[in-house]
Amino acid sequence: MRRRIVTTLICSLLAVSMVLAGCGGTAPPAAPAKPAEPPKPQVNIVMAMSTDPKTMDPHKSNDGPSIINWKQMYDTLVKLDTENRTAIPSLATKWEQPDGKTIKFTLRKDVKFHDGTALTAKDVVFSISRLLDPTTKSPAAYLLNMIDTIKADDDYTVTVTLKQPFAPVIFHFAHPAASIVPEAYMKAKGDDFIKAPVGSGPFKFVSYTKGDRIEFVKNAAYWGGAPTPDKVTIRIIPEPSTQVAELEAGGIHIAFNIPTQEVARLKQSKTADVLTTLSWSVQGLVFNVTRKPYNDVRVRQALNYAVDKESIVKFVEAGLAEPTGQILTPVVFGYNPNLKPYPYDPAKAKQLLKAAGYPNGFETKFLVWNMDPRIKFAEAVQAQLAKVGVKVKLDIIEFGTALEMAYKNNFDVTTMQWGTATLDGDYSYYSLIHSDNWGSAGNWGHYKNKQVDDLIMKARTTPDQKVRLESYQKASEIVFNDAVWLFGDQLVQAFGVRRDLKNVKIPVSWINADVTKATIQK
Amino acid sequence: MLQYVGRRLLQLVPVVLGVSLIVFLIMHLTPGDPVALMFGADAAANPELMASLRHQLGLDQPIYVQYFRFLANLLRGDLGRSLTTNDWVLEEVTARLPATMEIATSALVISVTIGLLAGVIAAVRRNSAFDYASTAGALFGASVPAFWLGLMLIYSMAVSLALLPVSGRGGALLPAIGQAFLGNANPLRTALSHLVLPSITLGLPSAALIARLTRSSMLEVLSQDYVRTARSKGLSERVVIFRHALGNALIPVVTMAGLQFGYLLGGAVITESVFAWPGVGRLTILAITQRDYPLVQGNVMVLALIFVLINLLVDLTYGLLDPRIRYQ
Repeated sequence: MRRRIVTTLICSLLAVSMVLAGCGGTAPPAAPAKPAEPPKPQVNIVMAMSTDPKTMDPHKSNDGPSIINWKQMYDTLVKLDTENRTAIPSLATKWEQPDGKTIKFTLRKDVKFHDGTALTAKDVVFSISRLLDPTTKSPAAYLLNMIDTIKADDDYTVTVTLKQPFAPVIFHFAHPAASIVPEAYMKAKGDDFIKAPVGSGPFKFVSYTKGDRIEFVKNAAYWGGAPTPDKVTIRIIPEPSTQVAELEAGGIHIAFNIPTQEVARLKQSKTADVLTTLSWSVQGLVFNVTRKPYNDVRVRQALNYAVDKESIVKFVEAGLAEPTGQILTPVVFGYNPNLKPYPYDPAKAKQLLKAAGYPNGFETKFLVWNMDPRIKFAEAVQAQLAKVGVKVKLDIIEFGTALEMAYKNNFDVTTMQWGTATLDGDYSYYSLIHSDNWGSAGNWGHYKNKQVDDLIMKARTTPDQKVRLESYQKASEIVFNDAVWLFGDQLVQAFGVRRDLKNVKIPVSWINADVTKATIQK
Repeated sequence: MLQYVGRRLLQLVPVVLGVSLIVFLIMHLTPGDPVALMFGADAAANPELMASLRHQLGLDQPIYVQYFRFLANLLRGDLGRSLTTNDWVLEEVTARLPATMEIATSALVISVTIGLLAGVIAAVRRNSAFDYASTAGALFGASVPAFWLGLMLIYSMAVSLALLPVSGRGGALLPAIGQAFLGNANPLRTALSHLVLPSITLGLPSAALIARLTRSSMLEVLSQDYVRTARSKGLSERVVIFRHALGNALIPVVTMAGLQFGYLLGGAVITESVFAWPGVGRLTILAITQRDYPLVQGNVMVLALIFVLINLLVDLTYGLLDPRIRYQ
């Protein structure tokens, strides 16, 4: 009896497995084992990131892991030139702004989507309108919500009019959420579009196995020239230490999440290296200026003087950061190169605290996101502030809950990490500093300064880049003197890269690497 | 026996209801707004959109309305759609389940094999060097964190010696077995090579528990009268141990193995993370951090169901092990 049961079990298992093998259609991608008969070695560039993308539809999300996938398969009208902080042609060969409210794009004529259809002005109008349509529910629609109308003049010309003049608008067309998708294909596929997305980018979508990998093949007909790799694979590897191990073992070529403590060791490695670029992100702490004692500018300044940012960069950030005194980084339009960070001066800090009525310091609480880098930064600041008598209690709270507390003005000081995703100062100054955006809208600390508000609005509406730059630089000085934040550091992105991988560019952007020209050295 | 199985299956109903209520309450009472998390840093710019989305998802309803709606859908076999990806929860869970079943099953095989062998030998050679070594080993196995063990295995076996792949799943196992029978062993080789390290990482702590339990259970049985009788009949030691003693000693071990399988299914989260294994555990954790209520509820319901069914199977195997046990 017992034996019969076991035999039956084994037989049925075998039967099931053979049936499954028969319907091979669903067979997942083979791992890097030996292929049966390699005709010609294919170059497959494998990158690893830690989280699954939310969607392959560029108009339905705005998360980093999705964006890296969109960048492989879609194009935008313009691209960002991060070295010169300007917009450069992509699908649009040129654009004219006859007045503050109109932009006329001229499109390339040689662009084909992956399904073979030509990309025309109709697709551009469809894509941007779809992004803005409230029923699409894109969290990134606000990036272009200053658009009043968008229409195709002919097959290759698009005219956009704005509700009011908005100077940095061209930067917003470079955002991956403004990717161009084929109208006919999208309408035919409906909700199934995300299962077989089609764009015009350098790589074509092949498959997505959730929690495991996304695969692309090269688009040999790419208008910007065929990419060199035959395939690109993005693997989901949640654990940074595993990404490093894969990098060393040769299972992946690029690891986007390198633990800071591994950087020094990887740089010594024979097989892997660390590439760094200055990012568009800063981190610091936001003071709630509606609460005591942070309503007193002297207290806010004192805390800025009391923190030794150099040592935080050295010991906490493994050198992958630079102290700062502003919310923009040098890669962003509007950065003020003459503004130096607060120097470390505990004596001055004590003096300011005394003047503000806190000769023996005070007790306070920091709201800290439960993310390792934020916690380490907050702990370092906590230790330094103790030296001037400010006793900090850290409330380390899960990100979602912490955001909600910040929105509801339920904090004294909160951690902040922020990137200027359009590379134009407006993106950060308007959201984080302007008094229109008090509370959940971005200005969590409820800072208000009429002069700063005016400068931000001036830079927002005037097309004169020189005036705009001066406005941001002036605003940055006032924000610095008002010590709106405890300014921390500007962050450097560090990606692990195999030494045999050549011609890879790490753009200043979301987590991404430009592998269109990548080769693997034998 | 059929009656027994039927009754046990009926008991599933209150268990599932209880699980659904607990999961629902815990998730909804945890602070954090799924819609705000969906928007992240963009929440600032989208207050109206967020409100309309909250309404569309029914999140603005009182909590008991939401629960009963969830229950009503559950009765129709509808676990809802993920809040973050809008995919059907049932599809998401069933797509991930084979990966988790693979790793949990192979971990169970490893833990039962190692645990039984070590336990039996330690009991038979009580107070020998092997006994002490296996007790020490069991203590190590039970206390070593999966995270550390996984990374050590990766660095030794995959990076330094390059014997096995570092991480990832090398394709689905069952189709690969089928293919091997049809003459192509490559997919099976790939699948198995990816399974080895995570299975060991996941299975070792359970092996330690099973070894300790087998040892004590065997010692108890070996001291009983019928074993002495068997020996005095002149039966060989092997027959005494494997035919007469082990069968009886196995009952608590099988119970433990069944419970362990449930633990392996739900507790594989860390192992799945370290080895980038696309299983249900990781899906659940991600869903929790995103407050994706339907997805968390769906995952937990499915895992709970499997857990209960496995326990039923365990109870049924008692009859195979000990013919005296009858089901009423």
